[in-house]
Amino acid sequence: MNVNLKTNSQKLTTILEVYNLTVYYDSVLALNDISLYVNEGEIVTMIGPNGAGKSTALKAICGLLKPESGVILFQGENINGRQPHQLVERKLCLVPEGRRVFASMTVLENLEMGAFTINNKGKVRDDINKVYGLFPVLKERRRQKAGTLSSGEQQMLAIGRALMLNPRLLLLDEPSLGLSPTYVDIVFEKIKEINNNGTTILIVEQNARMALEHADRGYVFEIGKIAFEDKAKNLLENDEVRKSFLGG
Amino acid sequence: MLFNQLLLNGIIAGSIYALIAIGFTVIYRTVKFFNLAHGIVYTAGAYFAYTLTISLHLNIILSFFLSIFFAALLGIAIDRCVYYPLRRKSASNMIFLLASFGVFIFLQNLIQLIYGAQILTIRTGPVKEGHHFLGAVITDIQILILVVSSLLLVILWMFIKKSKLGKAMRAVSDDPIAASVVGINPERIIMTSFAIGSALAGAAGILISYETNIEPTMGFSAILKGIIASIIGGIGSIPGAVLGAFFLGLAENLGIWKISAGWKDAIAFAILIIFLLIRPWGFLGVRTEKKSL
Repeated sequence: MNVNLKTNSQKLTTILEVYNLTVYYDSVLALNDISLYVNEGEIVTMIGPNGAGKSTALKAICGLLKPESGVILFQGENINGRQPHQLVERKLCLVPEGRRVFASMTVLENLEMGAFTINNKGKVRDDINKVYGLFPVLKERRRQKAGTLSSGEQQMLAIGRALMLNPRLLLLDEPSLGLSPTYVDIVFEKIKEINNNGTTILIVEQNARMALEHADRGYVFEIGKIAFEDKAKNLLENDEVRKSFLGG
Repeated sequence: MLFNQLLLNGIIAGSIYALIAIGFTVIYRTVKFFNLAHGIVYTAGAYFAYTLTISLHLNIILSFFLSIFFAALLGIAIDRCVYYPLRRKSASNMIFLLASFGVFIFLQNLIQLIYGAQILTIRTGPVKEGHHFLGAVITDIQILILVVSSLLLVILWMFIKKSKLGKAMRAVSDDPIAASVVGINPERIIMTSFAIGSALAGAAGILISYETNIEPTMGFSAILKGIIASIIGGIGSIPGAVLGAFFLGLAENLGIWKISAGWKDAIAFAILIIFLLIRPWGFLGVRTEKKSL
């Protein structure tokens, strides 16, 4: 059971607040006036069918898409319209859909690029070792070109690369997409571990059951709108959600 | 020993082509369009050197470095004034190609307006006899070309492989979106690429201005050779550009061993066409699959 003990004992602090977000994607209305929030320490997931707008929401939050209107507050500051590299400085980091590792560069170089904005070499070395601790396979393959890794290993590298920035809020876009079931389990285990170490997490995921089993709260997207929002365990038991998204 | 002489000429031509092709490739890797204006930066390098050395009587070494610096600035200026506004409008690659051709023509005419269409020369004093080496003759200037271009190639390679900025350039080349989500400002990398690429083209133009006469139209065949070298080497690959450049230089020069020297350009284009038909990804390029929907 995923009862959120971490936040029950203290006053909740909201790290991300999104109000009335409307986004067009290729001049098609992809998100219509949605609002959501993420509390510090939580794992929140956005689920729903393909094209429902969940990925669009994530891309708008991290600055890859420019919203038509709305307010995105990260730690109280409106970040709507900022570029991704500016948000990285504020410790809001994305693990993009499809992993997008730097294919021609080695695993080690990928991690170094993750720390591009950090100038303290000693800290970068320590952080690389922390990532190796979390994903030992990356250490084994540190001299290998990232393009030659399996999808599961690439996903670990993509997550490791984002962790190099010591994010306060980590956004994950479809982390289980294209992975074998074993790796899906590993990736979600690691997400949980990263969260336990103090990083707040917002995940977009097609594998709704997996996501809800690991999250504290969830938002269910349907055609550019949020259809349901609730504690993850309530959504898992919600008949309508079960019928539509969890295969009954 | 005609063969040895042609071999040497091929290597010298190849090292100039390599500078142009690598500069072209460095820029191509980050912006992913064919920057034809690269050819005019080469021309401008030669004219900067001419102005500083002949008109302003500066020391030749100082004028060499200043000219490279100005070539880099010109590259950055072209990007900021023309390509940057187009990027903001998300223009297609065809628009960028046309714009770069426009820049090429505009600046070529500007050079012609300022300096006239006639040939100019930096060389002063009589032509010295070259050194004899394995039956071939090599001049001091040609030795300089070989030394400077090899040095620049090594420096560039170290920069791309080892420095943080060089690695960031590779990251942007691999995946600009991933680069921006790790905090790399793509505009900064684009500016760096234009500075480095244009400095290399400028260096090629300066070196060639010590060896032969210069004229405003010299950049056209230079950029064509640079592009051919990049394509046969594998577009986007820096080692490929070097390989393609030397292959092209040698093929052109050894090709005229038996046929008339007027066929040099024809040889270059024949090689290009053969590669495009049989191995369009070049020596070291990545064979890209056609993406299916």
